[in-house]
Amino acid sequence: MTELQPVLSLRGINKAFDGLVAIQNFSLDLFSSKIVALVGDNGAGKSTIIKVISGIYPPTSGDILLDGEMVYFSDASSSRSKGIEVVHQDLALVDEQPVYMNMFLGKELTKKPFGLLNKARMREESQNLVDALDVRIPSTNLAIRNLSGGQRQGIAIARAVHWASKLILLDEPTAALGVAETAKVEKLVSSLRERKLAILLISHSLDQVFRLADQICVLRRGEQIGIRETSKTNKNEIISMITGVH
Amino acid sequence: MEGSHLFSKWLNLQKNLIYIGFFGIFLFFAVTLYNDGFLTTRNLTNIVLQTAPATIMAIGLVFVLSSGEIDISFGSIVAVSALTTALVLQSAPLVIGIMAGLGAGLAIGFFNGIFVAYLRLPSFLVTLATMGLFAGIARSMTNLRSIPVLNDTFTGIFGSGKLFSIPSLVIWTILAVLIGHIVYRHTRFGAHILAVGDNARAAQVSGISVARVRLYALTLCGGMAGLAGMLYAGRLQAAKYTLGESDLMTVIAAVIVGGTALYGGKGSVVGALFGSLMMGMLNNGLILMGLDVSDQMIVRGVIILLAVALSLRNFNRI
Repeated sequence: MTELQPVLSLRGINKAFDGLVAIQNFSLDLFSSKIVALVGDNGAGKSTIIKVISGIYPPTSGDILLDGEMVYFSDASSSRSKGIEVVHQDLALVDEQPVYMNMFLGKELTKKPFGLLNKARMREESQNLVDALDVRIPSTNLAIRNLSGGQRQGIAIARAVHWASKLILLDEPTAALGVAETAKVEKLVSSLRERKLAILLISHSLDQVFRLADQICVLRRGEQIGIRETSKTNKNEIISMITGVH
Repeated sequence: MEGSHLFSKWLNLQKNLIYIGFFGIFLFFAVTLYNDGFLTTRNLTNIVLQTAPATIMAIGLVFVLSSGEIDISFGSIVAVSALTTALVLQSAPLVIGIMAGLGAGLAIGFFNGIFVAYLRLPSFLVTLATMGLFAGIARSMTNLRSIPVLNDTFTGIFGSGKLFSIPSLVIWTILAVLIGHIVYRHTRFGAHILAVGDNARAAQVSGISVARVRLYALTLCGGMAGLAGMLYAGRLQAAKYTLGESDLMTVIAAVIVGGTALYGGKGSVVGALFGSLMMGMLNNGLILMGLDVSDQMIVRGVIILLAVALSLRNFNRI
Protein backbone atom coordinates (compact mmCIF):
# COMPACT_ATOMS: atom_id res chain seq x y z
CA MET A 1 0.00 0.00 0.00
CA THR A 2 1.61 3.21 -1.12
CA GLU A 3 -0.72 5.80 0.26
CA LEU A 4 -2.79 5.38 3.38
CA GLN A 5 -6.40 6.37 2.89
CA PRO A 6 -7.98 8.30 5.74
CA VAL A 7 -10.97 6.70 7.42
CA LEU A 8 -12.67 10.04 7.63
CA SER A 9 -11.89 13.24 5.79
CA LEU A 10 -13.39 16.60 6.50
CA ARG A 11 -12.90 19.01 3.58
CA GLY A 12 -13.57 22.69 3.98
CA ILE A 13 -16.32 22.30 6.53
CA ASN A 14 -18.28 25.46 7.34
CA LYS A 15 -21.06 25.63 9.87
CA ALA A 16 -23.15 28.68 10.64
CA PHE A 17 -26.08 29.09 12.98
CA ASP A 18 -28.47 31.79 11.77
CA GLY A 19 -25.62 33.51 9.95
CA LEU A 20 -23.29 33.26 12.93
CA VAL A 21 -20.19 31.39 11.89
CA ALA A 22 -19.31 28.56 14.29
CA ILE A 23 -16.80 26.70 12.13
CA GLN A 24 -15.00 27.96 9.07
CA ASN A 25 -13.03 26.06 6.51
CA PHE A 26 -12.17 23.11 8.70
CA SER A 27 -10.28 20.21 7.18
CA LEU A 28 -8.99 17.13 8.94
CA ASP A 29 -8.01 13.58 8.08
CA LEU A 30 -8.46 10.78 10.59
CA PHE A 31 -6.58 7.51 10.09
CA SER A 32 -7.18 4.13 11.62
CA SER A 33 -5.09 3.34 14.69
CA LYS A 34 -4.36 7.03 15.16
CA ILE A 35 -5.57 9.35 17.89
CA VAL A 36 -6.13 12.98 16.96
CA ALA A 37 -6.80 15.48 19.72
CA LEU A 38 -9.01 18.46 19.09
CA VAL A 39 -8.11 21.31 21.41
CA GLY A 40 -9.26 24.87 21.85
CA ASP A 41 -10.76 27.19 24.37
CA ASN A 42 -14.41 27.11 25.38
CA GLY A 43 -16.54 28.11 22.44
CA ALA A 44 -13.81 27.38 19.91
CA GLY A 45 -16.14 24.99 18.10
CA LYS A 46 -14.91 21.58 19.26
CA SER A 47 -18.37 20.28 20.10
CA THR A 48 -19.72 21.63 16.83
CA ILE A 49 -17.14 19.56 14.95
CA ILE A 50 -18.19 16.45 16.88
CA LYS A 51 -21.83 17.15 16.08
CA VAL A 52 -21.07 17.67 12.41
CA ILE A 53 -19.20 14.36 12.21
CA SER A 54 -21.85 12.48 14.15
CA GLY A 55 -24.65 13.84 12.00
CA ILE A 56 -26.44 15.94 14.61
CA TYR A 57 -25.68 19.17 12.70
CA PRO A 58 -25.35 18.96 8.94
CA PRO A 59 -22.53 21.24 7.73
CA THR A 60 -23.51 24.48 5.99
CA SER A 61 -20.94 23.66 3.34
CA GLY A 62 -18.02 21.31 2.87
CA ASP A 63 -17.62 17.59 2.36
CA ILE A 64 -17.35 14.57 4.60
CA LEU A 65 -15.63 11.54 3.12
CA LEU A 66 -15.76 8.13 4.71
CA ASP A 67 -13.17 5.72 3.32
CA GLY A 68 -12.80 8.09 0.39
CA GLU A 69 -16.50 8.19 -0.39
CA MET A 70 -18.66 11.22 0.04
CA VAL A 71 -21.26 10.75 2.77
CA TYR A 72 -24.11 12.80 4.12
CA PHE A 73 -25.39 12.21 7.64
CA SER A 74 -28.93 13.40 8.20
CA ASP A 75 -29.01 12.39 11.88
CA ALA A 76 -27.09 10.58 14.59
CA SER A 77 -28.34 7.15 13.61
CA SER A 78 -27.15 7.51 10.03
CA SER A 79 -23.57 8.12 11.19
CA ARG A 80 -23.82 5.24 13.65
CA SER A 81 -24.92 2.89 10.91
CA LYS A 82 -21.70 3.80 9.09
CA GLY A 83 -19.56 2.80 12.07
CA ILE A 84 -19.10 6.10 13.87
CA GLU A 85 -19.73 6.17 17.62
CA VAL A 86 -19.67 9.07 20.06
CA VAL A 87 -18.86 8.84 23.75
CA HIS A 88 -20.78 11.79 25.11
CA GLN A 89 -19.58 13.94 27.93
CA ASP A 90 -22.59 13.00 30.05
CA LEU A 91 -22.08 9.32 29.15
CA ALA A 92 -25.61 8.61 27.90
CA LEU A 93 -25.98 5.59 30.15
CA VAL A 94 -29.17 4.42 31.82
CA ASP A 95 -28.51 4.31 35.56
CA GLU A 96 -31.01 1.74 36.74
CA GLN A 97 -30.27 -0.77 34.01
CA PRO A 98 -27.55 -3.40 34.21
CA VAL A 99 -24.28 -3.05 32.33
CA TYR A 100 -25.27 -5.53 29.63
CA MET A 101 -28.50 -3.70 28.82
CA ASN A 102 -26.58 -0.44 28.51
CA MET A 103 -24.08 -2.08 26.22
CA PHE A 104 -26.93 -2.95 23.86
CA LEU A 105 -29.13 0.09 24.51
CA GLY A 106 -31.37 0.69 21.50
CA LYS A 107 -29.92 -2.37 19.75
CA GLU A 108 -30.98 -5.11 22.14
CA LEU A 109 -30.46 -8.66 20.97
CA THR A 110 -33.54 -10.85 20.71
CA LYS A 111 -34.13 -14.52 20.15
CA LYS A 112 -36.61 -16.51 18.17
CA PRO A 113 -39.45 -17.31 18.02
CA PHE A 114 -41.12 -14.59 20.12
CA GLY A 115 -38.53 -11.84 19.79
CA LEU A 116 -37.85 -11.82 23.52
CA LEU A 117 -34.62 -10.29 24.80
CA ASN A 118 -31.63 -12.58 24.60
CA LYS A 119 -30.20 -11.57 27.95
CA ALA A 120 -27.81 -14.50 28.17
CA ARG A 121 -26.07 -13.54 24.95
CA MET A 122 -25.98 -9.84 25.80
CA ARG A 123 -24.42 -10.71 29.16
CA GLU A 124 -21.87 -12.96 27.56
CA GLU A 125 -20.87 -10.51 24.84
CA SER A 126 -20.66 -7.67 27.35
CA GLN A 127 -18.49 -9.75 29.62
CA ASN A 128 -16.17 -10.65 26.75
CA LEU A 129 -15.88 -7.03 25.77
CA VAL A 130 -15.14 -5.64 29.24
CA ASP A 131 -12.62 -8.43 29.73
CA ALA A 132 -10.92 -7.71 26.42
CA LEU A 133 -10.72 -4.01 27.22
CA ASP A 134 -9.74 -4.64 30.82
CA VAL A 135 -12.62 -2.60 32.20
CA ARG A 136 -12.86 -4.00 35.69
CA ILE A 137 -16.38 -4.32 37.02
CA PRO A 138 -17.68 -6.91 39.50
CA SER A 139 -20.43 -8.12 37.17
CA THR A 140 -22.26 -7.14 34.00
CA ASN A 141 -25.47 -7.66 35.98
CA LEU A 142 -24.77 -4.63 38.11
CA ALA A 143 -26.81 -1.51 37.49
CA ILE A 144 -24.77 1.43 36.20
CA ARG A 145 -25.81 3.32 39.34
CA ASN A 146 -23.57 1.01 41.38
CA LEU A 147 -20.41 1.72 39.37
CA SER A 148 -17.74 4.36 39.90
CA GLY A 149 -17.18 7.24 37.48
CA GLY A 150 -14.21 5.49 35.90
CA GLN A 151 -16.11 2.25 35.51
CA ARG A 152 -18.99 4.10 33.89
CA GLN A 153 -16.66 5.80 31.46
CA GLY A 154 -15.13 2.41 30.76
CA ILE A 155 -18.57 1.01 29.95
CA ALA A 156 -19.39 3.99 27.71
CA ILE A 157 -16.15 3.52 25.79
CA ALA A 158 -16.59 -0.26 25.63
CA ARG A 159 -20.03 0.29 24.16
CA ALA A 160 -18.61 2.61 21.53
CA VAL A 161 -15.91 0.06 20.71
CA HIS A 162 -18.52 -2.65 20.37
CA TRP A 163 -20.53 -0.73 17.81
CA ALA A 164 -17.90 1.37 16.04
CA SER A 165 -16.25 -0.15 13.03
CA LYS A 166 -14.38 2.97 11.93
CA LEU A 167 -14.28 5.93 14.23
CA ILE A 168 -14.88 6.87 17.86
CA LEU A 169 -15.39 10.46 18.98
CA LEU A 170 -14.51 10.99 22.63
CA ASP A 171 -15.87 14.15 24.20
CA GLU A 172 -13.90 14.94 27.38
CA PRO A 173 -13.64 11.31 28.50
CA THR A 174 -11.95 12.05 31.81
CA ALA A 175 -13.45 15.42 32.75
CA ALA A 176 -15.21 14.08 35.83
CA LEU A 177 -12.64 11.52 36.97
CA GLY A 178 -10.00 11.33 39.67
CA VAL A 179 -6.31 10.75 39.02
CA ALA A 180 -6.26 6.96 39.23
CA GLU A 181 -9.43 6.59 37.19
CA THR A 182 -8.14 9.01 34.58
CA ALA A 183 -5.04 6.87 34.16
CA LYS A 184 -7.18 3.79 33.61
CA VAL A 185 -9.38 5.46 31.04
CA GLU A 186 -6.33 6.83 29.24
CA LYS A 187 -4.88 3.36 29.08
CA LEU A 188 -8.14 2.14 27.61
CA VAL A 189 -8.24 4.93 25.02
CA SER A 190 -4.66 4.24 24.07
CA SER A 191 -5.42 0.55 23.60
CA LEU A 192 -8.08 1.38 21.01
CA ARG A 193 -5.28 1.83 18.45
CA GLU A 194 -4.86 -1.94 18.40
CA ARG A 195 -8.45 -2.24 17.25
CA LYS A 196 -7.70 -0.31 14.07
CA LEU A 197 -10.13 2.43 15.03
CA ALA A 198 -9.66 6.10 14.30
CA ILE A 199 -10.07 8.24 17.41
CA LEU A 200 -10.92 11.91 17.71
CA LEU A 201 -10.40 13.11 21.26
CA ILE A 202 -11.64 16.34 22.78
CA SER A 203 -9.82 17.24 25.95
CA HIS A 204 -9.10 20.27 28.06
CA SER A 205 -6.06 18.66 29.59
CA LEU A 206 -2.96 19.32 27.51
CA ASP A 207 -1.03 16.81 29.60
CA GLN A 208 -3.52 14.19 28.56
CA VAL A 209 -3.43 15.27 24.93
CA PHE A 210 0.34 14.92 24.88
CA ARG A 211 0.14 11.53 26.54
CA LEU A 212 -2.44 10.12 24.15
CA ALA A 213 -2.57 11.85 20.80
CA ASP A 214 -0.56 11.27 17.65
CA GLN A 215 -1.67 14.60 16.22
CA ILE A 216 -3.08 17.76 17.75
CA CYS A 217 -5.54 19.97 15.91
CA VAL A 218 -6.09 23.46 17.31
CA LEU A 219 -9.28 25.47 16.96
CA ARG A 220 -9.77 29.10 17.92
CA ARG A 221 -13.12 30.82 17.53
CA GLY A 222 -14.19 28.44 14.81
CA GLU A 223 -11.00 28.84 12.90
CA GLN A 224 -8.55 26.02 12.32
CA ILE A 225 -5.20 27.29 13.55
CA GLY A 226 -3.17 24.26 12.62
CA ILE A 227 -2.38 20.58 13.02
CA ARG A 228 0.84 19.40 14.67
CA GLU A 229 2.48 16.02 15.11
CA THR A 230 2.62 15.50 18.86
CA SER A 231 6.23 14.38 18.64
CA LYS A 232 7.27 17.56 16.83
CA THR A 233 5.62 20.16 19.02
CA ASN A 234 5.49 21.21 22.64
CA LYS A 235 2.97 22.57 25.08
CA ASN A 236 4.07 26.17 24.69
CA GLU A 237 3.46 26.09 20.98
CA ILE A 238 0.01 24.52 21.43
CA ILE A 239 -0.92 27.00 24.16
CA SER A 240 0.04 29.94 22.01
CA MET A 241 -1.98 28.45 19.15
CA ILE A 242 -5.00 28.04 21.44
CA THR A 243 -4.81 31.53 22.92
CA GLY A 244 -3.36 33.43 19.97
CA VAL A 245 -0.81 35.03 22.32
CA HIS A 246 2.80 34.66 21.30
CA MET B 1 -27.52 -12.44 41.14
CA GLU B 2 -25.65 -9.41 42.23
CA GLY B 3 -23.24 -11.52 44.17
CA SER B 4 -22.00 -10.90 47.63
CA HIS B 5 -22.38 -7.15 47.42
CA LEU B 6 -23.68 -6.17 50.81
CA PHE B 7 -25.20 -3.08 49.27
CA SER B 8 -27.15 -5.06 46.71
CA LYS B 9 -28.34 -7.50 49.31
CA TRP B 10 -29.72 -4.67 51.34
CA LEU B 11 -31.39 -3.34 48.25
CA ASN B 12 -32.88 -6.73 47.46
CA LEU B 13 -34.37 -6.84 50.92
CA GLN B 14 -35.98 -3.49 50.28
CA LYS B 15 -37.13 -4.57 46.86
CA ASN B 16 -39.01 -7.35 48.59
CA LEU B 17 -40.71 -4.96 50.99
CA ILE B 18 -44.01 -5.33 49.18
CA TYR B 19 -43.98 -9.09 49.71
CA ILE B 20 -43.04 -8.71 53.35
CA GLY B 21 -45.80 -6.14 53.79
CA PHE B 22 -48.29 -8.27 51.91
CA PHE B 23 -47.69 -11.38 53.97
CA GLY B 24 -47.48 -9.35 57.18
CA ILE B 25 -50.93 -7.90 56.64
CA PHE B 26 -52.21 -11.26 55.48
CA LEU B 27 -50.97 -12.95 58.65
CA PHE B 28 -52.36 -10.17 60.81
CA PHE B 29 -55.85 -10.53 59.33
CA ALA B 30 -55.59 -14.30 59.25
CA VAL B 31 -55.06 -14.36 63.00
CA THR B 32 -57.29 -11.50 64.13
CA LEU B 33 -60.12 -12.21 61.71
CA TYR B 34 -59.95 -15.99 61.74
CA ASN B 35 -63.39 -16.28 63.28
CA ASP B 36 -64.83 -13.69 60.92
CA GLY B 37 -64.14 -15.82 57.88
CA PHE B 38 -61.15 -13.95 56.45
CA LEU B 39 -59.33 -17.15 55.62
CA THR B 40 -62.21 -18.89 53.84
CA THR B 41 -61.61 -19.74 50.20
CA ARG B 42 -64.71 -17.80 49.36
CA ASN B 43 -63.47 -14.61 51.01
CA LEU B 44 -59.97 -14.87 49.56
CA THR B 45 -61.33 -15.52 46.09
CA ASN B 46 -63.58 -12.54 46.54
CA ILE B 47 -60.59 -10.31 47.24
CA VAL B 48 -58.95 -11.39 43.99
CA LEU B 49 -62.20 -10.91 42.06
CA GLN B 50 -62.77 -7.46 43.50
CA THR B 51 -59.24 -6.29 42.80
CA ALA B 52 -59.11 -7.64 39.23
CA PRO B 53 -59.97 -4.31 37.52
CA ALA B 54 -57.57 -2.36 39.77
CA THR B 55 -54.80 -4.86 39.06
CA ILE B 56 -55.32 -4.45 35.31
CA MET B 57 -55.20 -0.65 35.64
CA ALA B 58 -52.12 -0.92 37.84
CA ILE B 59 -50.25 -2.88 35.18
CA GLY B 60 -50.95 -0.17 32.60
CA LEU B 61 -49.78 2.45 35.07
CA VAL B 62 -46.51 0.57 35.70
CA PHE B 63 -45.64 1.09 32.04
CA VAL B 64 -46.53 4.79 32.08
CA LEU B 65 -44.69 5.57 35.32
CA SER B 66 -41.67 3.59 34.16
CA SER B 67 -41.48 5.71 31.03
CA GLY B 68 -41.24 8.80 33.22
CA GLU B 69 -44.82 9.97 32.68
CA ILE B 70 -48.03 9.64 34.67
CA ASP B 71 -51.64 8.97 33.79
CA ILE B 72 -54.32 10.04 36.24
CA SER B 73 -57.15 9.85 33.71
CA PHE B 74 -57.48 6.06 33.74
CA GLY B 75 -60.50 6.17 36.07
CA SER B 76 -62.42 8.20 33.50
CA ILE B 77 -61.26 5.88 30.73
CA VAL B 78 -62.72 2.97 32.72
CA ALA B 79 -66.13 4.66 32.81
CA VAL B 80 -66.15 5.66 29.13
CA SER B 81 -65.04 2.19 28.02
CA ALA B 82 -67.57 0.40 30.19
CA LEU B 83 -70.39 2.62 28.95
CA THR B 84 -69.26 2.30 25.34
CA THR B 85 -69.27 -1.48 25.59
CA ALA B 86 -72.67 -1.53 27.29
CA LEU B 87 -74.21 0.79 24.70
CA VAL B 88 -72.75 -1.04 21.72
CA LEU B 89 -73.79 -4.43 23.10
CA GLN B 90 -77.41 -3.29 23.14
CA SER B 91 -77.55 -3.56 19.38
CA ALA B 92 -74.35 -5.24 18.21
CA PRO B 93 -72.79 -8.68 18.60
CA LEU B 94 -70.26 -9.59 21.27
CA VAL B 95 -67.07 -9.05 19.30
CA ILE B 96 -68.07 -5.57 18.24
CA GLY B 97 -68.90 -4.69 21.84
CA ILE B 98 -65.52 -5.89 23.08
CA MET B 99 -63.70 -4.07 20.31
CA ALA B 100 -65.63 -0.89 21.06
CA GLY B 101 -64.75 -0.96 24.76
CA LEU B 102 -61.12 -1.76 24.21
CA GLY B 103 -60.94 0.65 21.28
CA ALA B 104 -62.35 3.49 23.39
CA GLY B 105 -59.65 2.90 26.00
CA LEU B 106 -56.86 2.72 23.44
CA ALA B 107 -58.15 5.81 21.64
CA ILE B 108 -58.24 7.93 24.80
CA GLY B 109 -54.81 6.68 25.79
CA PHE B 110 -53.56 7.58 22.32
CA PHE B 111 -55.18 11.01 22.66
CA ASN B 112 -53.30 11.54 25.95
CA GLY B 113 -50.15 10.24 24.33
CA ILE B 114 -50.20 12.68 21.43
CA PHE B 115 -50.23 15.65 23.80
CA VAL B 116 -47.53 14.18 26.01
CA ALA B 117 -45.21 12.64 23.42
CA TYR B 118 -45.40 15.05 20.53
CA LEU B 119 -46.48 18.35 22.07
CA ARG B 120 -44.32 17.63 25.12
CA LEU B 121 -46.90 18.86 27.60
CA PRO B 122 -46.53 17.56 31.15
CA SER B 123 -48.43 14.30 31.41
CA PHE B 124 -49.77 15.18 34.83
CA LEU B 125 -51.55 18.26 33.46
CA VAL B 126 -52.65 16.59 30.23
CA THR B 127 -54.24 13.66 32.04
CA LEU B 128 -55.64 15.91 34.77
CA ALA B 129 -57.48 17.73 32.00
CA THR B 130 -58.58 14.58 30.17
CA MET B 131 -59.66 13.02 33.46
CA GLY B 132 -62.19 15.80 33.80
CA LEU B 133 -62.99 15.85 30.12
CA PHE B 134 -63.81 12.14 29.87
CA ALA B 135 -65.55 12.02 33.24
CA GLY B 136 -67.85 14.66 31.77
CA ILE B 137 -68.28 12.69 28.57
CA ALA B 138 -69.08 9.57 30.59
CA ARG B 139 -71.80 11.47 32.43
CA SER B 140 -73.32 12.94 29.31
CA MET B 141 -73.16 9.68 27.33
CA THR B 142 -76.19 8.29 29.12
CA ASN B 143 -77.43 11.27 31.10
CA LEU B 144 -76.09 9.69 34.29
CA ARG B 145 -78.19 6.59 33.70
CA SER B 146 -76.80 3.14 34.25
CA ILE B 147 -76.86 0.83 31.23
CA PRO B 148 -77.53 -2.88 31.81
CA VAL B 149 -75.35 -5.47 30.10
CA LEU B 150 -77.58 -8.35 29.12
CA ASN B 151 -75.23 -10.28 26.84
CA ASP B 152 -74.63 -13.49 28.78
CA THR B 153 -71.51 -14.42 26.87
CA PHE B 154 -70.02 -11.03 27.68
CA THR B 155 -70.82 -11.19 31.38
CA GLY B 156 -69.44 -14.71 31.36
CA ILE B 157 -66.14 -13.80 29.77
CA PHE B 158 -65.65 -10.56 31.69
CA GLY B 159 -67.50 -11.27 34.91
CA SER B 160 -69.11 -14.28 36.48
CA GLY B 161 -67.95 -17.03 34.12
CA LYS B 162 -65.54 -19.84 34.87
CA LEU B 163 -63.03 -21.84 32.89
CA PHE B 164 -62.05 -25.22 34.38
CA SER B 165 -63.77 -23.93 37.53
CA ILE B 166 -61.42 -20.93 37.70
CA PRO B 167 -63.34 -17.62 37.78
CA SER B 168 -62.78 -15.58 34.63
CA LEU B 169 -61.64 -12.52 36.60
CA VAL B 170 -58.86 -14.61 38.12
CA ILE B 171 -57.86 -15.77 34.65
CA TRP B 172 -57.83 -12.19 33.40
CA THR B 173 -55.63 -11.19 36.32
CA ILE B 174 -53.18 -14.02 35.74
CA LEU B 175 -53.05 -13.39 31.99
CA ALA B 176 -52.52 -9.66 32.40
CA VAL B 177 -49.76 -10.09 34.97
CA LEU B 178 -48.04 -12.81 32.96
CA ILE B 179 -48.12 -10.98 29.64
CA GLY B 180 -47.42 -7.63 31.30
CA HIS B 181 -44.41 -9.04 33.10
CA ILE B 182 -42.97 -10.61 29.96
CA VAL B 183 -43.45 -7.47 27.90
CA TYR B 184 -41.99 -5.32 30.68
CA ARG B 185 -38.94 -7.43 31.43
CA HIS B 186 -38.23 -9.44 28.31
CA THR B 187 -38.98 -7.35 25.24
CA ARG B 188 -37.26 -4.45 23.55
CA PHE B 189 -40.37 -2.36 24.12
CA GLY B 190 -40.11 -2.90 27.87
CA ALA B 191 -36.39 -2.12 27.81
CA HIS B 192 -37.05 1.08 25.86
CA ILE B 193 -39.77 2.17 28.30
CA LEU B 194 -37.31 1.84 31.16
CA ALA B 195 -34.53 3.57 29.24
CA VAL B 196 -36.73 6.53 28.33
CA GLY B 197 -37.95 6.90 31.91
CA ASP B 198 -34.44 6.68 33.29
CA ASN B 199 -32.53 8.89 30.90
CA ALA B 200 -34.45 10.13 27.88
CA ARG B 201 -31.37 11.71 26.31
CA ALA B 202 -29.39 8.49 26.56
CA ALA B 203 -32.30 6.66 24.98
CA GLN B 204 -32.47 9.21 22.20
CA VAL B 205 -28.78 9.16 21.30
CA SER B 206 -29.00 5.37 21.33
CA GLY B 207 -31.51 5.55 18.53
CA ILE B 208 -34.67 4.89 20.55
CA SER B 209 -37.67 6.89 19.39
CA VAL B 210 -38.47 8.56 22.69
CA ALA B 211 -41.72 10.14 21.54
CA ARG B 212 -43.06 6.87 20.17
CA VAL B 213 -42.22 5.02 23.37
CA ARG B 214 -44.12 7.61 25.43
CA LEU B 215 -47.07 7.47 23.03
CA TYR B 216 -47.22 3.68 23.23
CA ALA B 217 -46.97 3.69 27.03
CA LEU B 218 -49.95 6.01 27.41
CA THR B 219 -51.93 4.17 24.74
CA LEU B 220 -51.25 0.87 26.48
CA CYS B 221 -52.40 2.35 29.78
CA GLY B 222 -55.61 3.51 28.12
CA GLY B 223 -56.17 0.04 26.69
CA MET B 224 -55.69 -1.56 30.09
CA ALA B 225 -58.15 0.89 31.62
CA GLY B 226 -60.57 -0.04 28.82
CA LEU B 227 -60.19 -3.71 29.72
CA ALA B 228 -60.73 -2.87 33.39
CA GLY B 229 -63.91 -1.04 32.41
CA MET B 230 -65.19 -4.14 30.64
CA LEU B 231 -64.38 -6.29 33.67
CA TYR B 232 -66.46 -3.95 35.82
CA ALA B 233 -69.30 -4.02 33.31
CA GLY B 234 -69.11 -7.81 33.13
CA ARG B 235 -69.08 -8.36 36.86
CA LEU B 236 -71.80 -5.81 37.69
CA GLN B 237 -73.76 -6.63 34.52
CA ALA B 238 -74.16 -2.91 34.04
CA ALA B 239 -72.12 0.18 33.25
CA LYS B 240 -72.32 3.53 34.99
CA TYR B 241 -70.38 6.76 34.89
CA THR B 242 -69.15 6.19 38.46
CA LEU B 243 -67.09 3.12 37.51
CA GLY B 244 -63.40 3.67 38.10
CA GLU B 245 -64.07 6.96 39.84
CA SER B 246 -62.66 5.85 43.18
CA ASP B 247 -59.78 3.76 41.88
CA LEU B 248 -57.24 6.53 41.32
CA MET B 249 -55.74 6.54 44.81
CA THR B 250 -55.83 2.78 45.24
CA VAL B 251 -54.19 2.04 41.92
CA ILE B 252 -51.42 4.64 42.26
CA ALA B 253 -50.75 3.42 45.79
CA ALA B 254 -50.68 -0.21 44.62
CA VAL B 255 -48.17 0.59 41.89
CA ILE B 256 -45.86 2.68 44.06
CA VAL B 257 -46.00 0.24 46.97
CA GLY B 258 -45.29 -2.49 44.44
CA GLY B 259 -41.90 -0.99 43.72
CA THR B 260 -42.43 1.21 40.69
CA ALA B 261 -40.57 4.51 40.85
CA LEU B 262 -42.76 7.59 40.59
CA TYR B 263 -40.17 9.25 38.35
CA GLY B 264 -39.49 6.46 35.94
CA GLY B 265 -36.75 4.01 35.12
CA LYS B 266 -37.78 1.11 37.28
CA GLY B 267 -40.76 -0.85 38.36
CA SER B 268 -42.42 -4.21 38.66
CA VAL B 269 -45.57 -5.74 37.21
CA VAL B 270 -45.61 -8.55 39.76
CA GLY B 271 -45.07 -5.97 42.50
CA ALA B 272 -48.09 -4.04 41.22
CA LEU B 273 -50.18 -7.21 41.45
CA PHE B 274 -49.21 -7.68 45.08
CA GLY B 275 -49.71 -3.98 45.75
CA SER B 276 -53.20 -4.23 44.33
CA LEU B 277 -53.99 -7.42 46.26
CA MET B 278 -52.70 -5.75 49.42
CA MET B 279 -55.07 -2.82 48.92
CA GLY B 280 -57.95 -5.22 48.30
CA MET B 281 -57.04 -7.25 51.36
CA LEU B 282 -56.94 -4.11 53.52
CA ASN B 283 -60.33 -3.09 52.26
CA ASN B 284 -61.74 -6.52 52.98
CA GLY B 285 -60.10 -6.90 56.38
CA LEU B 286 -61.21 -3.52 57.62
CA ILE B 287 -64.79 -4.24 56.63
CA LEU B 288 -64.68 -7.61 58.38
CA MET B 289 -63.30 -5.86 61.46
CA GLY B 290 -66.51 -3.92 61.51
CA LEU B 291 -65.00 -0.50 61.01
CA ASP B 292 -67.42 2.01 59.61
CA VAL B 293 -66.65 3.77 56.37
CA SER B 294 -64.98 6.82 57.89
CA ASP B 295 -62.72 4.68 60.10
CA GLN B 296 -61.85 2.52 57.10
CA MET B 297 -60.81 5.57 55.14
CA ILE B 298 -58.61 6.79 57.96
CA VAL B 299 -56.90 3.46 58.53
CA ARG B 300 -56.42 2.89 54.81
CA GLY B 301 -55.02 6.39 54.40
CA VAL B 302 -52.52 5.87 57.20
CA ILE B 303 -51.42 2.51 55.86
CA ILE B 304 -51.02 3.81 52.32
CA LEU B 305 -49.03 6.77 53.60
CA LEU B 306 -46.80 4.46 55.60
CA ALA B 307 -46.31 2.04 52.74
CA VAL B 308 -45.63 4.73 50.18
CA ALA B 309 -43.21 6.50 52.52
CA LEU B 310 -41.32 3.27 53.11
CA SER B 311 -41.18 2.21 49.50
CA LEU B 312 -40.22 5.62 48.19
CA ARG B 313 -37.41 5.83 50.67
CA ASN B 314 -36.36 2.45 49.48
CA PHE B 315 -36.58 2.98 45.82
CA ASN B 316 -35.58 6.51 45.18
CA ARG B 317 -32.93 7.84 47.47
CA ILE B 318 -30.32 6.13 49.52
